[in-house]
Amino acid sequence: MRSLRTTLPGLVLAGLILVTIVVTGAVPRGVTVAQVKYRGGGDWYANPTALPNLLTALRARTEIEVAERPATVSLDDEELFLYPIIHMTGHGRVTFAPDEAVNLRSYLERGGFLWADDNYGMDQYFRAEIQKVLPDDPLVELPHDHDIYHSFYDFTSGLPKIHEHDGGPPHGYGIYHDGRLVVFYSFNTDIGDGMEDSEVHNDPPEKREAALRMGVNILVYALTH
Amino acid sequence: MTAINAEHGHHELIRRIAATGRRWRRRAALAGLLRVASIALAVIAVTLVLDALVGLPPGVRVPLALAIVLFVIVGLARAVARPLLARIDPVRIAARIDEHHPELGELLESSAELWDKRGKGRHGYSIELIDALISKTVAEAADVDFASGERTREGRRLAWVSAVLIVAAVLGIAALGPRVGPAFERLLNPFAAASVPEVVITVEPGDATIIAGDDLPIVAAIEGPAVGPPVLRFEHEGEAPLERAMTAIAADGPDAAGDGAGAPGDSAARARYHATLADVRSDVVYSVRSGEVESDRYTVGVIERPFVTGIKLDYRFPSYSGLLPRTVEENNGDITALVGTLVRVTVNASKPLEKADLVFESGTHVPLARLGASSFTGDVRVRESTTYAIEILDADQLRNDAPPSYSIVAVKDEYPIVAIVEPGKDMEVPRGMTLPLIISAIDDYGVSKLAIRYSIEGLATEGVFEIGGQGDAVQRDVVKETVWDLAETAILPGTILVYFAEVTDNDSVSGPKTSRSESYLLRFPSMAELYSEITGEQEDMLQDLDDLVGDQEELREEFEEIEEDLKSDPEIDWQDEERVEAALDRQEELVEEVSSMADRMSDLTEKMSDSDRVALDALEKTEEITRLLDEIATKEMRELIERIRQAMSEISPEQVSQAMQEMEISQDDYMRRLEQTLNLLRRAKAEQQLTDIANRADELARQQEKLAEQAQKAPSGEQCESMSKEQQKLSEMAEQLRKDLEKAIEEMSKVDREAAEEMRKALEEMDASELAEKMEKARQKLTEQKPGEAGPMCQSAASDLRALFTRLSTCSGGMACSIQQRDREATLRAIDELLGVSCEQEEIVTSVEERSRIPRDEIVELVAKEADLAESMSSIADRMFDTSKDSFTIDPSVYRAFGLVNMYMSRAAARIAAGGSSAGAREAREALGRVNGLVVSLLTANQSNSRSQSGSALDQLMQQLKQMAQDQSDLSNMTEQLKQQLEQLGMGAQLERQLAEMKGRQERILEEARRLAKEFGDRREILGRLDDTVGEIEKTLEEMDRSGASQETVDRQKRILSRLLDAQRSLRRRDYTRERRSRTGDEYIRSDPPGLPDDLTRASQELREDLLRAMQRDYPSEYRDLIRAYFEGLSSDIESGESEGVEQ
Repeated sequence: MRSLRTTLPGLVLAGLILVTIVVTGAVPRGVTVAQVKYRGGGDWYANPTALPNLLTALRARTEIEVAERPATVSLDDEELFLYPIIHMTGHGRVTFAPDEAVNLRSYLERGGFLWADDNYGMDQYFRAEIQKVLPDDPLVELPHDHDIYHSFYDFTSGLPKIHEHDGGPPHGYGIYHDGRLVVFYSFNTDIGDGMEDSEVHNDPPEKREAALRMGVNILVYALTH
Repeated sequence: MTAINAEHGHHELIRRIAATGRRWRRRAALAGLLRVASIALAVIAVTLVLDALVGLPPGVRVPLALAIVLFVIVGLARAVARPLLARIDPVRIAARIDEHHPELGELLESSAELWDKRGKGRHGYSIELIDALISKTVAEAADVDFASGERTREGRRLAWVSAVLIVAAVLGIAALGPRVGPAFERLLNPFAAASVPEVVITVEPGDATIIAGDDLPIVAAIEGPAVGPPVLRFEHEGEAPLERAMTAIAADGPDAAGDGAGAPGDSAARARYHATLADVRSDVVYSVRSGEVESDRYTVGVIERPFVTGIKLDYRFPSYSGLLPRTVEENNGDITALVGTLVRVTVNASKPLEKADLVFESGTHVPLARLGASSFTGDVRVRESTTYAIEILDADQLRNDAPPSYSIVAVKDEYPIVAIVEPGKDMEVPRGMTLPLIISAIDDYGVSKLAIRYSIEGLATEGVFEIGGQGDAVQRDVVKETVWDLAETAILPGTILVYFAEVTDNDSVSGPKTSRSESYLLRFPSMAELYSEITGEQEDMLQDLDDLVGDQEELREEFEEIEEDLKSDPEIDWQDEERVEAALDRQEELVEEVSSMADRMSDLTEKMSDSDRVALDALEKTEEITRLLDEIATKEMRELIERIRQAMSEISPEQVSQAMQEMEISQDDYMRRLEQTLNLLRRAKAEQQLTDIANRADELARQQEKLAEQAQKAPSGEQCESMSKEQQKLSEMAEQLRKDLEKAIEEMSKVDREAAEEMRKALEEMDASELAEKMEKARQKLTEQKPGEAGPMCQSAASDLRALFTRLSTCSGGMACSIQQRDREATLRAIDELLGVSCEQEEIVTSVEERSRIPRDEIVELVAKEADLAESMSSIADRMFDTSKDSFTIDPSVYRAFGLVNMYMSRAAARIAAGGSSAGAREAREALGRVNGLVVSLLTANQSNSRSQSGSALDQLMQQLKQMAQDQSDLSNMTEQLKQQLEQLGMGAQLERQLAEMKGRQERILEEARRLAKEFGDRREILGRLDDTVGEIEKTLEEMDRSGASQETVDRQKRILSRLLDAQRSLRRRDYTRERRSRTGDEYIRSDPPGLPDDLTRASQELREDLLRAMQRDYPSEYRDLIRAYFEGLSSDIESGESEGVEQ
């Protein structure tokens, strides 16, 4: 019953998206993940091959029909509500204008899901800005038995460590709103770097695979919860 | 007269006589009718009265009725019908006319009678006579009205009598009232039995109209024999009839006030009863029944008072508020609105109205304008809080009953609130003289203007940094991010800028209101302050570190004593345990102190990194010292302490001895690290002082040059006073600089005598140049208003200062070079010596390994040789440490490696001496391996040292990276634009030129990246992925050659920019973070975060859904508010309950 209740907003949103797709034909066929084009000066467009690779992996490994390329969306854009999952990354400053914060909150409350991946340097800004969006909901570290680490692949030790920046283990944080995980924040691992084309960072294959698997887990979790 | 004329005259007479006869006949019939009718009516009236009063028996009523009928029939026949039917006799009528008109004599009668005899001759009248008579009669009667004499006195009397009779009869009947009906019925039906006396019920108010909601009092007067209290029967419209007993209220008869019963036949009884129908809301039909007798049925109609059925409020808010017009149709007249709001009140009433008014608390009536028969409207301007009511009046002049009072709440526009969110604290002027600001302003109806106001302490000038108006769009909650270029504020080093945010709202009704945020200080530290602050902190740390070294030295001696005591007496008693435990505790404390010092050093590094004025090389050194301090508090030391404790608890002298031995090595290493750190800190401080003084000299030279230029350009006498003051200030700064240089020389002499000597020479040159005198003379000339003469002196002073700067900078650079050279030489020498040791150690290993038994004399030789080698290792280590203890070239861990080699050599010697060739060989080989490892480490360190860059080079690198990022950003934008143009227009000559230019720019960036990658190739930990960027740029250029500007090119250029930014951040971050690396992630052992609280994952959705469901119902707004409050209460109860549960 609880899962039905928590899944319901997602199903409603998915229904709306399907209707919109059928009516407008404006969005590519299949689930589309959108890259958030935020303000503040940070390189929102970082890791350009990461999401396409993740979508390819998701399509190949699961039964989920996904678009070939991610979309790009601003937070004040009405099209935000067309995408069940949005993703943001970057190295630097992030700013949510008040209307963007309101729009994003509305999106999250209506079943949307935000995956923020710190590409090194985004942490302090993201924390401050997301606090504006959901001031009453804290960013909490998710335990290793959380569904997001087991939705498709098993990550018994939680988030995998992909890239080294300041040392220390990676952390997976989340924000719950009305009993539903609406934001997942991967910190101190740089999953996005790991999902990029292999020649970009020359990561070992196992690291790249771990990054893609975690990405698949996050998307599968977001689409099924 | 001729016969014809007579005949005509006769006929005329006869016609007139006949007409008169007919008229008289009608009169007679009418009179008869009058007589019969009046008499009959009188008789009937008398009969009715008698019957009503006394109740005539049928025996009387029947004859009377027959008599009346007979009289009427006969009377009508005789008095009416007979006159009308009687034949008209002209002779008789003529005779009657003659009677009424004596002047005619008997002419008419004669003429009428004689005409028939004309020509018959029977009586002898001649025709001529008759014609003459007729002619005469015609002539005489020509002007006579034959009928005029008929109105006699008898006729008038008849009329009077008839009238009196009729009136009397009518009055008599009317006096009977309701009893006339039954009496008349009995008269018509004379054979009916007598019901004497009759019960008569008189009901008030009879048919009537009342106002809805009023009470209806009904009074019944009963006349006649009483049969008990009457019953009121009533029936509301559409409802079943009801009955209610009436109550006696008064009595006209003797028994009426009692139970209403009277003696039968007591016709004089009369009683009054009443009953009240309360709150009558619909039409009602009622009657009163007494016994078998029921009154007539009466109808009381109900009319409604008018009432207000609907109120619609149309709000039109002041335009500045930006609020959209709003219509409230909830039939609630309460108004809550911003002052200045115009509210249109539209009233609908239950029925057509004559007028409607708004009546305010003050008594003011505002008439509303008619919209329709039952709707009115009017405007209310909200100015103050008050109340009003709506009074309406309908066409029946009825007002609405107790109209309710509605409130008007005038909401005032509040003052705006503004806060500086970032930085939100006092701070120093940040890098780049730009201050990122985040300002939050809130106003209930919109912010119109936001600005930063500032003033510089000690200066009269105030300034405004306009952050901009908010445009036409109303913004109530504004978060403005901007960057404040502090260069525009004219803030100078050594001054403090006070600033606050000021916000103005858009209230155009009461006038704009302004609020201010808290004030913050922005301190621009002078060179001297910065110098003082940093060196002060460094001084403290030096002192603390010095104390720490002393403490550690004492502790080492304590450990040595303990070890000696344990060697002499291996038995571990309680006192030994206590002593060792105390020493270990102290060692732990010292480790903690070092760790704490590392934190302080880290804080200092961060503080220094906040300012542009601290060079990156100084930051790098401070960071290196922090790292050293971090490493001093080694995990090995902690583990060793634990091992000693463990051995003590197991009372194992052998293990204790072994652990103490290792502790000794660790403490040597520890001491060396502390001493090295202390020396490094001293050197860093001295170098920092030198750099600061050099920089201050540079700044002074720059200011002095500027003043010289001003003095040379200034016309005579003008601005001299201010220039003189400026010169005075520069003189004082130069004097302070000299004093600080003297102190710095003293400090430097403790760490680097050569550098101190160089600095001393610089000071001597400064004195020899007579800088102070030149500056003083320039000041005097300026005071004397002779800028032309002051100019050359200023210029000369500036040159001296520039020379000082050059000398000190050279000294600083030379120090770095000489240290590198010295360390390189020391390392090479150590490597050389270690290689010798390695060869000799290898010989020992070979000698021992190949033989199962070694002769005694050879053993002595081998042991002595191994002991010599161990001694050599210590000497090499001490020499190297003494040489490079104040540099970063040799990692302190190297000295621990020396210690370990020494230990294994000692063990090898001991094993060989004990005759254990295999064990000795094992220890000797271990020592050999470690010696060789040491050689490799020193070789690597030496190579790194030879390629290492100075700190100033890092500053340059940062600038270059910034420039490259900026260029790449511009280029990316250009590529994006070019791509769009290519898609629209295709490649043309102009776009081709543009593409070529862009390629040129990309190539320049490539060259620069290649150069940096080559130059800093071994500093990957600093640059991160810069070397990969070179490959990206090459691919970009290939793409530009191939396809001009494609999406791939744009994406790749963005990636290049990301990497350049990453490299910058990497370079900066390493300044104040302890362990920054950019590489593939390591695996970490990590603890599982605690589970999520239940309330986090449990949806509060159930309540929300219930709330939403409830709110969807069409309840009145007040009720919806209550529902919302109820659910909020439930929600907060749950939350508080949960929090209590957690606390328990």
